[in-house]
Amino acid sequence: MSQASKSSVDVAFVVNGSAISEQVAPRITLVDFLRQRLGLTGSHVGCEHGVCGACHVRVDGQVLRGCLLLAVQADGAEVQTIEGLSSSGEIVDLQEAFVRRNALQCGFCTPGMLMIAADLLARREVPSREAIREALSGNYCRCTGYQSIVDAIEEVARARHGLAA
Amino acid sequence: MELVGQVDLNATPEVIWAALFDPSVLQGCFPGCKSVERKSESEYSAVLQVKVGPLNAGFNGVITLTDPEYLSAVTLAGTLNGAGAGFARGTARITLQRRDLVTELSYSADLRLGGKLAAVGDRLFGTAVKRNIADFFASFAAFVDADRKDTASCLASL
Amino acid sequence: MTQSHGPLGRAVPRADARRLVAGAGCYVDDISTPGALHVAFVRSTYAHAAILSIETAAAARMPGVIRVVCATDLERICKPMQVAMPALDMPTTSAQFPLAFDEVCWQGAPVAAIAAHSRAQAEDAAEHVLVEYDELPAVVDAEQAMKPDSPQAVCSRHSNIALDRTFGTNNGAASFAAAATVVEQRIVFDRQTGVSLESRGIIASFSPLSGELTVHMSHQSPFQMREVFSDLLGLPNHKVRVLCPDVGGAFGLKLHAYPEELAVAAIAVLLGRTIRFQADRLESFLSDTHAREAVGVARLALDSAGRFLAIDVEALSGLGAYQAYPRGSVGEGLHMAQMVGAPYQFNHFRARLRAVHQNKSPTGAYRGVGQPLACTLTETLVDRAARTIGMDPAELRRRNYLSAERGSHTTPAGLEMSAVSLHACLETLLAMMQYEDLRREQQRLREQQIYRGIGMASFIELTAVGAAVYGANQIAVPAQEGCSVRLEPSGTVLCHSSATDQGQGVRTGIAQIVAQTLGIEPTDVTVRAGDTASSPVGGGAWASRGIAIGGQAALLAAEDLRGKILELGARVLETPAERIDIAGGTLRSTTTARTLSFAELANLAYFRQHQLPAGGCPELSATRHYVSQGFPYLTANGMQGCLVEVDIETGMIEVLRLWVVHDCGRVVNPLLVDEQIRGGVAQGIGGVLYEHCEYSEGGQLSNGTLADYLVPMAGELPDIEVAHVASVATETSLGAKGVGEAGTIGAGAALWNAVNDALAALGAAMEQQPFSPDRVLRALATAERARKSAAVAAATNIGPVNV
Repeated sequence: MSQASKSSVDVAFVVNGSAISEQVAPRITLVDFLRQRLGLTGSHVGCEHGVCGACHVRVDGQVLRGCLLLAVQADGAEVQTIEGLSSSGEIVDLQEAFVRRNALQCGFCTPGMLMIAADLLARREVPSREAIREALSGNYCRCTGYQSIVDAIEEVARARHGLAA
Repeated sequence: MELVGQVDLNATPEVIWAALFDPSVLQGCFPGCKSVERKSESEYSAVLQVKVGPLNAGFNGVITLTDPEYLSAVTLAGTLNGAGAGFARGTARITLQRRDLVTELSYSADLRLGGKLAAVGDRLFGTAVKRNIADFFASFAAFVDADRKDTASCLASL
Repeated sequence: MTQSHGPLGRAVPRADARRLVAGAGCYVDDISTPGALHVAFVRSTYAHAAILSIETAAAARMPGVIRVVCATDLERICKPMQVAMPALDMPTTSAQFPLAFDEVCWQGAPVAAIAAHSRAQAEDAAEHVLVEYDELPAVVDAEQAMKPDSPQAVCSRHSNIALDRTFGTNNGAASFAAAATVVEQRIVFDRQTGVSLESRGIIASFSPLSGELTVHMSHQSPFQMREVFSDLLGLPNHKVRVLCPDVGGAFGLKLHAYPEELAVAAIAVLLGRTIRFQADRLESFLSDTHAREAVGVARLALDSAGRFLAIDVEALSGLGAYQAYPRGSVGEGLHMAQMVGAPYQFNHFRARLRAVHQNKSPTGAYRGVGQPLACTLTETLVDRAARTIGMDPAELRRRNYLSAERGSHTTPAGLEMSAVSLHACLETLLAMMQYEDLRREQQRLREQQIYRGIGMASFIELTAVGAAVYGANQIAVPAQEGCSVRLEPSGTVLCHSSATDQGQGVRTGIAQIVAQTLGIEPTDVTVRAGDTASSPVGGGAWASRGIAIGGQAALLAAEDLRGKILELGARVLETPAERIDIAGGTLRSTTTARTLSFAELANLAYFRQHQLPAGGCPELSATRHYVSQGFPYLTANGMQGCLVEVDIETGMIEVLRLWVVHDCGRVVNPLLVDEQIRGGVAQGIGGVLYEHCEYSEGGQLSNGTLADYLVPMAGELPDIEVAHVASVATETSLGAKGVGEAGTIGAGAALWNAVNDALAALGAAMEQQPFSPDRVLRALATAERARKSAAVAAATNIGPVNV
C-alpha cells in the first residue's frame, strides 16, 4: 500500500549556496526535507496545506510554500532559506527593524514574514501600508496583530529609497 | 451533505434495473472498487481503494438495496469505514423514469461523513465526493448504453 | 524604587529576537533526537461510541513500526487524569485516560498510538489499525445537554451538568420590579480555538537505568507538568525534568495536560527510550482545547436617571467531553457569570452559571478565560440600555462607572476590586476617537445609505491571579514566581526566572527590572527560564502574571543582590555601604572617590578571596519568590473603541479603526505592552468576525483546516491605536499589573457595539458571534420583514402588531 516507501529518487540542488545531493522519498515535502535532512529548521511547518506561510522558501528566485512542493520538484533548482538570507546579509536591515519594533513575538511566523518582505522590497517602488498588508495576507501571525510588522517593513522600504521613516 | 443529480441513460428500465442489482456491475463502475460480494438478496460487502480529493484510502463497507419498486425506484444505502480516513454513510433514493427512448435516472442522496473526512471539510471533500459519484454514474451510463458494441454479451452475462 | 532614568519604562528590544529573525529559534520540533521514535495517533471517528475491538496486528507489521500502543498497554504505567476542585463543591468528574479504553466521547479522541522510526511510517501504520465502534447517542448542543432527557456525553455520568453555581443574591428582584427601565441582552458565543502557529509538541525521554524522565515540550508551565508527570506516572518528583524551549504561541491552550502528551511520556517509560510527537494542523483543530462556547442572558435594571440598579445573569458554558487537567475548565464560565457589570456601580447582582458536558473536544483556557464573554454581555447590555432610554452610550457609562476615589472594595458580585481609572480611560478614548466628529460623520454617511457603526467597551481585567485558586483546590500548580540572580565574573548578571515566555517578552522585562535595580544596562543581564532543573519553582505564564508577579520576584531578588554587592563593596572600599553609589556597573565611594567595577568585585569574590579583608565568604547571588497575598488578583482596566462599516448588500463588515486605552499600572516596556495589546485585540476581533469551530449535528468537526477555520490575516485589520493611563498598583513595590489578555477582553465587545450601532439604523441587531456575512444578512432581513409588517398593519389599520 505504501507506494512512497518503495523507491527513493536522486535529487541534486543548491541550498543556500551549497550543492546538495541526496536520495529522497518521492512524497517528502521540500520543507520537511530541509528541516529533517539538512537541519535547516528556520523554515517552519504550520499547516501543511499552503495557508499559513510559515514554510516560505525561495526557489529559483520565487518565494514559494515549502509544504506545497515535494523535495523532488526542487531537483536542479537554487533554494534559499531564511538561514541563507540571514547569513548573506541580504535582509539585515529588515531584521534590525523587526527587532527594534518588536515585529515578532513568538517568532514562529517570522522567517516566512521576512521572506515575503524581502520579496516585496526587491521591487522598485515603496509600497503603501495597504500594499504591505496585502503582500502579507498569506502569512498568518497570531501574536502581533500585524501592525508592528507593517511598521518595520514600511520603515525599511522608505530607508532603502532614501526617504525619512 | 446532500447530493442530487440525474443522468439520462440510453437503455430500458429493465436493463438498468438488472444492472443495479448486479454486484459485478457495481464493482466495475465504481472507481477503485476492488471487490463486491453478495451477502444476501439485498446486501453486499465491498472493498474499495478510493481517491477522494487528496486522500487515497482503503474502505470496507456494506451496501444495501431496499424498498424496491420494481423498475421505478430503490433505496441504496452504504456504510464505508476507512481506518485512517473516517467513515462515509449515506442513503440515496434512486428513481427511474422512462422518457421516449431514454430512461432518466435520478438520485437524491444524504451523505454523512465522519472522522478525518468530516474534519477536513466540504471544501476538500465535498466536490471530490460529488465527482466520485458523478464518475460512477458516468461509468454506469456507459455500461448500460444500448449502443455499446458488446452490449449483447454484457446483457447475456446479467 | 528609583525611576527617573534607567531602563525601566524604556522600549528595550528583546534580546532573543535576534535569534528568531535569523531563523535560529529552537522549538520542540527543531530539536534533533537521533534514534527517537515518532508517534502518530489513531483517533476516534465518532463523537460518541463504544470501542468494541482494536485490531493492531496489521499495523504492527508495517515498516518502521516498533510498537502499537493501546490503553491496556499503559494501564499499569499511567493513572488517568481526573479533575477535582473541592473548593467549588463540584460533582466528581470523569477520569480521562491517555488512550481511550472502551468509550470515546469526542471525535478525535486518541484511541491508539503508533511508535515508529518516522512520523510518516507511524501514519502509514495508523491507517491499518482497525477499530470497531458501536455508535452511541451523542449530545452536541449545550442547551440540549442541560435537559434531563439528554444523552450523557460520557456514559458513566448521570448528568451532563458539571457545575451549577450562583453568585450574589436574589435581592435584586425588587429592583427589577420597580425599575424605570429593564433591558435584556442574549448572546450566543460560538466555539473557538487558539490556533497557535506552532502546534503542540513533546519529546519525552526515559532512562530505565537512572529512572529519570526528561521532557521537552511546547508549554506554558513546566513545573505544573513536572507534577503531572510525576504524579500520574508514579515517578519521584526529583526524577522528572521538564524543559520548555522556544514556544511558538500558546494563548492558554498550552497550559493543560493533554492525553496525547501524557501518552507519549507513558510510552517513553514503557519502552525506556525517547519518544516524540508534534500535532499536525488537523489534529490541532481537533484536539487542542477549544473555548468560548456559551450562551449568556443578562438583564439590567435602571432608574429614571439612567443609574444602574441591578444585574441578573444566566450563563451556560459548553465544556466538551472532559474538563482540561489539572485546572479544570469551569474558569471560563465562572468569569463569564461573575464579571458581568464589573466596571459599574450597582446594588444588586445575581448570576447563575451552568457548565455542561457535550460530545465535542474538551475546552480549556484561552486568552481572557471568560472575561471577553462577560465584557461583551455587559457592554452590549449597556449600549442597549442607552438606545432604549435615548442617552448617548458614553454618557450612560460616565454616569455609572465605579469611581477612582472608591478604592478597594468588594462588589455585589463578590469581586475584590482595587482602584480603577475608568473615567480617565473614557475621556482619553473619546478624545482619541474624536467621538463627536465620528458621530457627525456617521449621520452624514447614513443619509447616503452608508452604514457606519461606532462602538466602545470598558473592561475590568483580573490579572496576576494569586494562590487562592489552586491551593484551595489542591491543584499542584505553583502560584508564586521566583527569580535567582547572580553576579558573574564578567560583571554581568545571570538571572533564572520561573516566569516563562512564549513571545510576550517577559524575559526582557525582567532584564530591565534587574538592570534598573543594579544600575546596569539590560544587555548586561541574561535571563533564562523554562527548565525545572534550574529555574526557581514557580508558575510560568497564564492570567497575565509574567511581569506583575515574575517581575516583582525579580525586583526583590535584584534588591537583595544589590545589598550584597554593597556589603562586599563596603569591605573592599573601606567605606560604609550608605556612602557608596552604584551606577554604570561601578561602585564609587563618595568619601574616598575610590571605584570598583562589578567585574573587579566579582573576580575578588570568586577567584581572589585571599585579597579580601576579613569578614566571611562573599555571597553574590540571591533568590527570592513572590506570591500575591492579601489580594486574590490585581485588577486592571481599560476601554476600547471601534469604527466599522457594514455593507448591507453583502453582509461584509470592514473594521476601519480600533482604539485601546489601558491602565496596567507601571509600564515596564511600552514596546512589549503595546504589542501584547495589539495581538490580543486581533484575537478578540477574530472571535467576533471569523472564528468558529463548526460541528455537525452528529458531533463531527467540519472545518479542521486553516482554509475553513478563518483567522484574521494582515488585510483584515486596521492599525490599532494604543494609549495608556497609569495608576500604579500599590499592592507590589514594582507597581505593574498584568496586560497580556487586555486586548482580547475588550475588543470583541467594542466590535459588537460598533456593528449593532451600524445596524440599529435599520432596526437590526446581531445576537450570535461570529458575524458571518450570512448572519448579518439574515439579521437585516428579519428587521426588514418586521418593518414591512408594521407598515402593513399601520396602513390597513389593523392595530398594533407585536414585532
